[in-house]
Amino acid sequence: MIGFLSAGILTLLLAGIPVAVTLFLLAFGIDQFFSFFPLTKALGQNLWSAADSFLLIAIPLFVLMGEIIVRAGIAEKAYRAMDHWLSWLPGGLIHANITTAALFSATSGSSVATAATISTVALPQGDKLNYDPRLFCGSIAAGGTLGILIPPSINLIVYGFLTETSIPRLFMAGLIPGLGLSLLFMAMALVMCLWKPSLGGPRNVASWNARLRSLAFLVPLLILFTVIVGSIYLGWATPTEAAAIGVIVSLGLAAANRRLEGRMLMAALDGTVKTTSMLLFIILAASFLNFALTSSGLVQQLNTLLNTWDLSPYALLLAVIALFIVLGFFIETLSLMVITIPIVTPLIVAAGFDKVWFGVVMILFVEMALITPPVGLNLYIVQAARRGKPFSDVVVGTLPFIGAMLLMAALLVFFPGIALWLPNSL
Amino acid sequence: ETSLNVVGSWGSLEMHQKFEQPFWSRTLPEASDGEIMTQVTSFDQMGIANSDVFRYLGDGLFDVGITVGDYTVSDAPELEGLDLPMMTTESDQAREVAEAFRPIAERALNQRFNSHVLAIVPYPAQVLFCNTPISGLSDLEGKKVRGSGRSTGEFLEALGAQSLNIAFNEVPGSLERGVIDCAVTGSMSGYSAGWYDVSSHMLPLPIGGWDYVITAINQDKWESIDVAEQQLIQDQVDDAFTAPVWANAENETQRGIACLTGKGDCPAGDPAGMTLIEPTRADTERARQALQDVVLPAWAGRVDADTLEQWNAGVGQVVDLQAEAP
Amino acid sequence: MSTFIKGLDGLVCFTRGVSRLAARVIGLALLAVVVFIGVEILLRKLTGHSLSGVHEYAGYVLAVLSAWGISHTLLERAHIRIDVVHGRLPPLSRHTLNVLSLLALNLVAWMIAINVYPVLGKSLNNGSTANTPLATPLWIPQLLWAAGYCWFAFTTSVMGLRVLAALFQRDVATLDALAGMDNGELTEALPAREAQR
Ligand code: NA
Ligand code: NA
Repeated sequence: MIGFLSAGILTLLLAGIPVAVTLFLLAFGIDQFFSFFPLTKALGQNLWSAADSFLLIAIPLFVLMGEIIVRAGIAEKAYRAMDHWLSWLPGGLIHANITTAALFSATSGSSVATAATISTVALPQGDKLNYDPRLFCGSIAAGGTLGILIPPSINLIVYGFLTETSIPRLFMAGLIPGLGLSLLFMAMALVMCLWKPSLGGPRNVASWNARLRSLAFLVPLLILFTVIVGSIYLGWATPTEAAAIGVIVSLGLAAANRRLEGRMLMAALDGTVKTTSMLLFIILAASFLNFALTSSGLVQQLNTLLNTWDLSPYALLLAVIALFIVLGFFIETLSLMVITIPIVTPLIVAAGFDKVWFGVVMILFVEMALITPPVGLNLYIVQAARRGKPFSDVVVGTLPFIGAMLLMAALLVFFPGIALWLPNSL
Repeated sequence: ETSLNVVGSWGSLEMHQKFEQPFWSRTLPEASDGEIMTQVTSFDQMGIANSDVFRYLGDGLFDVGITVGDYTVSDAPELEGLDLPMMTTESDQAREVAEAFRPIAERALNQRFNSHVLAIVPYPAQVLFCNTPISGLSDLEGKKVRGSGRSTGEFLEALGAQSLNIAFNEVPGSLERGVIDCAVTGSMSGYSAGWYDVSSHMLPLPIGGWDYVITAINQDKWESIDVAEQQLIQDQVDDAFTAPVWANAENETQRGIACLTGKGDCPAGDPAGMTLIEPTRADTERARQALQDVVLPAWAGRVDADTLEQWNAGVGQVVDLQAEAP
Repeated sequence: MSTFIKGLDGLVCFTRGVSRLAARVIGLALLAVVVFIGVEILLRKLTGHSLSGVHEYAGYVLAVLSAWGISHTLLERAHIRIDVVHGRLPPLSRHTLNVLSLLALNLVAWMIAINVYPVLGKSLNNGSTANTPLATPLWIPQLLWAAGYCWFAFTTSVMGLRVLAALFQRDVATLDALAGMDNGELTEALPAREAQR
C-alpha cells in the first residue's frame, strides 16, 4: 500500500493534476483496493464535520488581514524602513528582505502570503540595483517561510487542532526559534557575502535622519502584532477571535493610510475567498485521505513496524525528521502535516518528547519543505513574480538558508528550552 | 465465523485502554473459541468526529461503535435524558438510571442509527475545578464556567453562572489566564491533564453528569449473527465489560480525588494539594431545583410524548423526578 | 455544431457569473463574522455577557465557504497544480494532461456531490439540531453547504464539456484559457498582483 501511495502521489502531482484532486483520487483508490468498508460512504460526513469548525475560520481571517495590509501599502513602507536600517551590511538589501519577512510574519499566519508580499515589494528593487538573483530570490523564498514559525501561524493552528495542543502555547513556543532563525538567515547571508561580495549588491548607507523618520513605517505592523498576540495572552480572545481583531485593526490602519475604499475591500474579500477555498479544498482532501489511511490499517501497520524496530527516542526522532525531509520534497505542506501528524505525534510523545516542542520542530521542517523542489510553494511564489527567468536561480539561492534551518533544528534538539522557555515562563 | 470491526471511545483514556481494547480484542474472541474475530481502534485514531460515530455505525462503515451519549444528542435529543446534570450523585443510583434508560436508548439507536445497544457504562463523575476559592454551588453566580453540551450549559446558566464553550486542551491555559473561573471534567482526567497546576478548589459533585458511554452494534450485522452467538456476545459484554467498568467508576473517582487533594492513596503519581469542598445539603437542593425548574422542562420540550412517558415511568422513578413538557 | 459551442460558452459565462456572485456573498459573510466577533469580545469585556451563537454561525460560514468557494477558484484557475514536469512537455501532451486533469476533477466533484446528500438526509430524518443553546436545525446550513458542492459538480461538468469540444476542434486558445496552468496562479491567489498597480 505504501508503494501504491508513493507512486500514485508522484505520478498524479507531476502530471499536473490539482493537489486536492490527487489526494481525493488516492483516497478513492485506497477504498477500491485496500479497504473492507465502503469508505466513500463517509465522504460527505467527513467533509461536513471537518469544515464546520470555528477554529479553522482563523484561516480566512488571517488571509484577509494580509490582503488588507498589502493593499494598504503598509508592507511596502516597512520594507523601505528596513532598507534604511540594514542595507549598509554586506549583502545590502538581502537583510532588508529577511527582516521585512520576519516583521510581516509577526502579523501574517501564512508563509505563502508572506513570501508573496515580500516578492512584490523586494523583487523590483533587486532587479534595479543589479543584485545576484540567486541569493536575493533565495532570501525572499526562505524569509517568507518564517510566516508560519513566528506567531500567528495557520500551520501551528492546524497542528494544535489535530493534536489537541494548546494553540497559545504553540504560538509562544514559535516566537524565539522564529527570531533566532531570522538572525541565522542574516548571519548566513552576511557570511556568504563576505566570502564572495559579488553575491550581494550595492550597500546603501542611509542618514540617521532618514532612518529615524522611517521608524514610523514600522508602527502599523507593531500595533498589529501587539494587538493579536497581546489579546491572546491577556485572555481576551482565542486565536480565532484574535484574527478577527487583527482584521478590524488592519482596516483601521488602512483607513489611516487613506487606502480604505469599497473597491479595495471587495478585491481583498475576493482574494480571501479564492485563497481560502483553495487551501480548504486541500485540507479537506488531506483529512479524508487520512481517514482512508487509518481505516484501511496503514497507520497501525506503520506503528507496528516502528515498534518492532524498537528505536531509542533520539533514533526515532531522527527517523521522523528524515521522513519529513523526504516527504517534504514531494508533498504540499498542509497535506504533509495532515498526513504525518496522526502517525508520528503519538509515537514521539510516547518516546517522552514534549508535544509543544515537537510542534515547533515539525514547523521548521514544514518550512524547509516550502523551499525544496519539486513541490515547494514558496519557490513558485517567487518565481511567479519574476516570470521568464531561470527557476534554478531561486532553488540554488535557498541552499544556504536550508543550512541555517538544519542548524536551527539541531539547536532545538539539544536545547529544547529555546522553544519551551517562553510558554513555560508566561 | 464472525468478524467485527470495533471503533471505541477516546483512545487516550482509561476506558478504552483498560476496558474496551482488552475486551473486544482478547476476552470476547477467546470466549467464542476463535469463532469471533475482531479489529479494534478508536474514533480519534480513525480521525472521525465523536458525534459522527453512530451515523457511521448506521451506515455499516464498521460493526461496533462506542461513544459518549451526550455527543450524539444533535441527532438524538432523547439521549440527553440519560445524563442530565446532578440527576444522581451516587454511583449505585447512576447504574440504576442507566438500566432504566436502556429501552429509550434502544429505541433511539434503532430508529435513528439502525443499531442495537449492547452496553451503557459511565466515565468517572464529571466534577468542578475552580481557580478561585468557592465554598459551594451558590458561589458560582457570576462566574465563567467551561461546560460541554447543551444541558450542562442550561444548568450552569440556571445557577447564575456564565457557560463558555472552550476546547479541552485550551482549558488549563484559560484557567491560568483567568479567561474562565471554573471548568468541569472527570476527576482522574483532570489529574492526568495537570489541571491542579492551574486551579485550587474542587467540588466533587457530578455537575456535568456521568458522561455515559454507549456501546452499540449495527442492526444488520446483529441480525446476521445467530441467536446463540448473540447471547454469547451479550453475556460476555455484561459480565466482562459492563460490570468491571461500573466497579471501576466509583473507584476511579475516589482515586482522582485522592490524587488531586492528597487525601488518600494516589497510585498514579505524586498527589497535588487542591482544596476539597465538601458539598452541603443546600448545594444539593439548589442543584436539584435548577434541574427541576429549568433543565428538565427544557429537555422535555425537545422530545416526543412517548419518550417522556417512558422516562417518567423508568428513570423518573429511580431519581424521584417527573418531566413535563413546558 | 457552432450553436452547440455557443450554448456551451453561454453556460460557461453563466457559471462564472454565479460563482463570482457566490464568492462575493461569502466574502461579505466573512466580514459579518469579523464584526460579530468584535462585538462579542467587546460585550464580554464590558458587560460580562456574550452573544450566543457567534462561534456556531462562524463554523457554518466556513463550511459554506469550503463548498461554494471552490467553483470560483476553479474558474479563476487558482487551484494549486505542480508544473515541474508539466511545464516542459510538448504542447500535445500538455493539452492532454490539462484535459485529463479537468476530467479527474469532474470525477471528484461528482463523487462529493453524490455523497453530501446523505448528510443532509440524516439531519432531516432525525430533525437534528446543533448541540448548542440555539439548537439550530442542522438541515439549514447543511442545505446551503450541499448546494455548493452540487454547483461545483455542475461547474466542472460545463467546463469539461467545453474543453472536450475545444479539444475536438483543436481550439488551443480556449483549451488554455479554461484548463491550462496559470503561471501567475499563485500570485493571483494572493494580494501581490493588486499591490503592484
Ligand atoms: Na506568522
Ligand atoms: Na518541497
